[in-house]
Amino acid sequence: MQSWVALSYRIPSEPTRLRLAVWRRLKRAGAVLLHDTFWLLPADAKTRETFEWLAEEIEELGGTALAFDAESFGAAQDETIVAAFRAEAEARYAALGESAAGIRRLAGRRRVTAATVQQARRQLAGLERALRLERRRDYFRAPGRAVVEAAIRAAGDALATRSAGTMRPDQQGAADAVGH
Amino acid sequence: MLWVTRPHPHIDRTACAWLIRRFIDPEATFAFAPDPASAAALGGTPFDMRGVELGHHEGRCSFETILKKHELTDPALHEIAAMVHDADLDDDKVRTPEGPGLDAIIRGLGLTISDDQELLGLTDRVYDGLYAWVRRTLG
Repeated sequence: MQSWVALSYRIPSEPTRLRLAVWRRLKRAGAVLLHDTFWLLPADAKTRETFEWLAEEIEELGGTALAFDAESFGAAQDETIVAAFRAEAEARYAALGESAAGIRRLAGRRRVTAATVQQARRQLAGLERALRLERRRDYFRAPGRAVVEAAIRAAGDALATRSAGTMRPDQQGAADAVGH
Repeated sequence: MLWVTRPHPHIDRTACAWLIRRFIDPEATFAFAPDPASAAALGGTPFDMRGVELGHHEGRCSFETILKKHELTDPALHEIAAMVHDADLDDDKVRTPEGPGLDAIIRGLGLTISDDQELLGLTDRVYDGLYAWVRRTLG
């Protein structure tokens, strides 16, 4: 049986900035909003703390918040909830996968400039950072994780071969300057 | 001396308890209370609670705050502070490879050990090991 922590809150609609800040924090923690009613996270010391702090902050912002430990009535409900978590993680992984495929395509082009390769490397580093965040909030190992990890590896490999000397000679100097 | 923090400690509170016991107050005992008022009622020094001196301040986690307040300069402690910071705060500034691993280990221990005192006993050993490791690398 999975234990959960739950949070529900009301917050003044203005200023929008504060509402948005709370919502972003919830998304960043990987919390899932169920039935537009309450946010859930699988219970552990850290997720509990996340809701504890958020509840206090929401009250300081003039809102009201209820944070509680929760257990569903049974395994079937847990499965529904876990599926909701996985679905959100899958959507985020899909977006990362597309970016990785884009980098790989770029590396496979017949002609690329050194500037493009450099930009693709920065994008790849950004993707790796994004993947670390996803791993942290992917509480139930959505299948997309392995797919994206492989796609990012493939993009990295493609880019590595690309910068190893397939550019036109007049661009080689610039490529050397960006990272070799 | 009695030190009080919130129950179900995660990374920052377990690391602070270790830091206090090993480097500040060898006689330290720990109690748990949900808020600073209840901590005061117990007569202890509160840490890692909202609004207390030994808490989060200016982007520092409580462990870093205690290092600063007690002027602890041991470089190994400052390296551990960076790991604790990374494990505790999702501020996207992960500087240490150990941080995410430490987060996983301490969270996992919390899932299997429901007695907070027992948990602190165990995490003390984890941080002892981490400290010995970092000290060795510093020569």
